[in-house]
Amino acid sequence: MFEQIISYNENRRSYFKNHQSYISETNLSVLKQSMVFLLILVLFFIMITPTIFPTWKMTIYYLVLFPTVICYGVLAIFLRKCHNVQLKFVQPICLSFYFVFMLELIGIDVWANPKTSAPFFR
Amino acid sequence: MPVLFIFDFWIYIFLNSLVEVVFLLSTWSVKAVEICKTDTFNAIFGFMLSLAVSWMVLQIRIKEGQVKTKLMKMGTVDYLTGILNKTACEQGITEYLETREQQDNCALLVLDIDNFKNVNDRIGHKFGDIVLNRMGSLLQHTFRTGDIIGRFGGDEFLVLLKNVKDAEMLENRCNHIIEEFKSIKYEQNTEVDWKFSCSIGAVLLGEERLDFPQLFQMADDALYEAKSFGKGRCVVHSTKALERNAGRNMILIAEDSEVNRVALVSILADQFEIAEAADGNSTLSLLSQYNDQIAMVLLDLYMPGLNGYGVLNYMKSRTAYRSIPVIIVTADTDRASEEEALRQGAVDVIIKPIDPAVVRLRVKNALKYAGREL
Repeated sequence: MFEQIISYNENRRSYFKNHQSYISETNLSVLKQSMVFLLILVLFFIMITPTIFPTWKMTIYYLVLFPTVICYGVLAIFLRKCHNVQLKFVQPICLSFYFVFMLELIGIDVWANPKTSAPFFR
Repeated sequence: MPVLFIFDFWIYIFLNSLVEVVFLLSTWSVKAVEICKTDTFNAIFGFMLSLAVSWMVLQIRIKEGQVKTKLMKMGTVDYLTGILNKTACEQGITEYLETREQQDNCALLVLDIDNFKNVNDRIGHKFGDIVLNRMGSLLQHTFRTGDIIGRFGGDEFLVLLKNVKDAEMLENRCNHIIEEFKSIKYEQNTEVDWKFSCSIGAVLLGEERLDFPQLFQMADDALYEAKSFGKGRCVVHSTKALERNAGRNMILIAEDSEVNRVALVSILADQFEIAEAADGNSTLSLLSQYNDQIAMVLLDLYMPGLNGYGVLNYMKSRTAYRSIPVIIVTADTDRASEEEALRQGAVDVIIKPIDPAVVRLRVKNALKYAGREL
């Protein structure tokens, strides 16, 4: 068991060391694609939710999703055009996107819907 | 979302934990207790699930990465010798030559195991593979990790040495390799104690900008010379000789007729040092030997072995000899032969019988034309 953990750790370390450019490229590509899908999803649900839940109202918590998605989308497109972007620049951007996006979901879950169970954190 | 991005597992744990804590604190400060309990349960379940999925996806990615690394290695390393294969080696050298600083001297070595065919034929390919493997190990242990070492094919190896001080140092390194390779002992169940030698052709590249094919050809010529002078030795050429016109005062006379050769020597010997060859192969040897001293070649078109056209073609296709002017000396009055020689790169044609005044004038003009006036 102990040997397996050591071996796993070695493999993990060598993977993140030897495939830095691949990881950078993949993460940037995922970031860009995520932005496109999120934009489509948010627009789609903003359009259909009022028809399913007539009492639902658009609030600021939903609207802040748009600038986030657009800003990170533009950043991802720009970085994808620059060749050989280093992992140390890409990882913080992806991490910050994930964190900001989750905070916005928490905003919707907690403050936009204080009287119901969290729709996203389940 | 976390499984889409490639993060280290500890980052997943940290980030998700942080998000969960923020969520739970927010929920418990805003919502009713019963709703909070449900949200907390859901959040913890989701957290555990996301960690498990992240860990599994990361495992798959690491395995995929290992396979990719293995494939990359298989594509660049020669399995028999453990050094770079031909394509990777050529690519590495080409890239280095394109990007190197002009003041960084480097050297290209072409190594060839002497009589290797006999090893395969007489003892077998398995033993031949052992010999190749030992050569690969020797090169890896002898040269620095920054040098580019590869197997060019068969029993030929390439080494690009970086930051080489001078030709003397290069020659010492080559001789060291030759001696080390000779001293390797092979365990074989035969009565014969097998020892092998190798020949090395090397070229020292100074500030000149040469590409890989040009450099390789020069090193290959040096190897040819090392082989033809008796195997188990090294010959070092320098690209600096390409630039050096001043100090060249030798004329190579390649003529099979002794009478004509003596006549030419007597005409030019008072002004120049003379090297004489009676056939094409000797001409090539002398060219290689006195490469940095030869100012001009007087070449007979019809000689035994390699004829004048062959020598001319050889010279004009090699960077090391291309700039040496060649005057054809021939008894052939056919205009077509003359035109063919000029087309192949000769600067002038002298028709026999030899007239001393004509020879002196033509040689003087040719040297002047080539910028090598003495």
